[in-house]
Amino acid sequence: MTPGPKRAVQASTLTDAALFESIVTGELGSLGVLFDRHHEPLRQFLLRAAPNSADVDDIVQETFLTATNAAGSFDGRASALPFLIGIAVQLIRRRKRTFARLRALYDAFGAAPTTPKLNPEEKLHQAREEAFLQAAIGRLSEEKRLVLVMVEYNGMTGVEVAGILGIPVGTIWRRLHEARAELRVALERGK
Amino acid sequence: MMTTPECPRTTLVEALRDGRLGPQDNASMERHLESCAKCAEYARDLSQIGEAIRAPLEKLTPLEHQRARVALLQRAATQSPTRAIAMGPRWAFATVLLAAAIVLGFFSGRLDQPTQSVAIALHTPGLPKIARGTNIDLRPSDDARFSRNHTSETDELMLDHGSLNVKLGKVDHAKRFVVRTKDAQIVVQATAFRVEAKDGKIRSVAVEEGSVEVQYAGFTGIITAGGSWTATDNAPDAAKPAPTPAPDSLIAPSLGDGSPAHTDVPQVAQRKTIAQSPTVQKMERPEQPTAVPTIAPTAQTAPDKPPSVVAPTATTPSPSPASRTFADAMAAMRRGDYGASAEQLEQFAKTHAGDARADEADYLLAIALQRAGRRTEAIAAAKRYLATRPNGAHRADAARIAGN
Repeated sequence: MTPGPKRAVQASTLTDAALFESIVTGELGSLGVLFDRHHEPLRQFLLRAAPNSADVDDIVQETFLTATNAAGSFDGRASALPFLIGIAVQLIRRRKRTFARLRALYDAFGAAPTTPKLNPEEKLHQAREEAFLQAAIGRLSEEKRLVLVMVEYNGMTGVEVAGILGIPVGTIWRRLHEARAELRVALERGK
Repeated sequence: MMTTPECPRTTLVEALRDGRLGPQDNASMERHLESCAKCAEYARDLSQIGEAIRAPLEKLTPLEHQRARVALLQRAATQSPTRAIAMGPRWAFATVLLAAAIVLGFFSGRLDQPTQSVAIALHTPGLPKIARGTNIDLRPSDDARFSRNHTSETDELMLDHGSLNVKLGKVDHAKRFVVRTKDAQIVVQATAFRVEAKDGKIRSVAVEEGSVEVQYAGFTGIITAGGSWTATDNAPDAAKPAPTPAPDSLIAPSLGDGSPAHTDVPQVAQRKTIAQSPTVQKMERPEQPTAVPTIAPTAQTAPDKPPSVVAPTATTPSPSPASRTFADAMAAMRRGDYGASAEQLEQFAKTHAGDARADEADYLLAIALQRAGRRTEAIAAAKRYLATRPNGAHRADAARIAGN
């Protein structure tokens, strides 16, 4: 009995790099430990970055499967989350075409947000602003939204985001600025 | 009220938020925000946007998490193409073939990946369809010995020795084009590739365009454009494919005893140049790629070196016994053979009690037994799970099976 739990505990204490090394050698059990560590953060990223949240759990699974296949390319950094996000971003881009039609529907819906009943209370006002903002976030272009989520939600630096997206840092800042500008317009409408 | 920024320093508010300012400018801007209404309003807007992005979203429940975990481990073990099909068949296929190449070390050979691995995983092109009605250009090496058997249904090249550069134009869609050696079979889906053999045994395959499916020692792998595989003929028996099949979708044991791949190659070979194509001349066996092949494990040894110099192929990654047993169990469950799955899971539990998947295996054993109609045993397995795994991730489901 003891060997089992003991080894399980050992696996859970391994670094992400060690877990990936283990996967490369065929120990897919380490994938479960990686999943436990990064599943929810990755999912939260995707909920914000993926255009269609209904596919988020599927993308999470595909991300980990792809990471398994690409385990040998993990660069050994402390956290595998940026690596996983990088894969997820590529998967999102792959699905872009699929999303296009849904996106059009979403845009049509978001273009005429339902106006909440007028209520002077501040709470309702904030909720209205929030609704406008969330709708506006949903209408951002994929590239702008990815940058925005990586910076604002994941707290990544411009250099990190640029590394994941494979574009210059200056482009990151420009996209971030444009995303915020669009959202400020929506915010103003909601006020 | 948000208006168009009028303060000349408003542009620095965003830089301040993103940490792009130096210490001095940072302090200066923070002081400025206290006195400038425009910039302060801008900062508040940015803050509000950030809060909207960070607004808490629903998390998975522990049970949902565990179910997702089990699903992932099952998929990783079997790399089911049907589930991955949501990403499109081409992506799914690429995933499967890459997994096969990686996890098995491409059946104890050496696989050279031409580009960065993640990019491969996501960008491997689908197999080209061989179009109707074209010919095949061959360029054999000077010492090549091969023969060709051409019928209405198949086009087979039997290579005994030397190398062949093959360039396919359009081929009869319904015709099967195969290159064989004594110990391997290469089903051609490529448009340009090179195959090399020595004394009847496969030495290497390098693909320039399209892809080929290589069947060797009971396993099947796929090499896509830019990739190559080199056989390590002195691989220890342990590194050879085991008699038990590997994960079904990952690798398909395709050569039985009566397989054509095991038929003898005609010893009297004839050399035949059907055509010569300039493009074939360009095709060389890829050497070490410029990009570091980070996924594929490489036995850094030329096959021609004597065994004493050859790096042990034990370093070539292949599924661990635990992974193989777990994958077999999952494969059996997927094909509805719950009895076999239960046996594999029991075996896994006995042999690999310390594996990270032991919890899943114990739980899935109860599931397999239940689906096999062995209710009493399923209940016993579920109760055993509950008794031995006080913190088990599947206690709720196990309790349901146990009838608690």
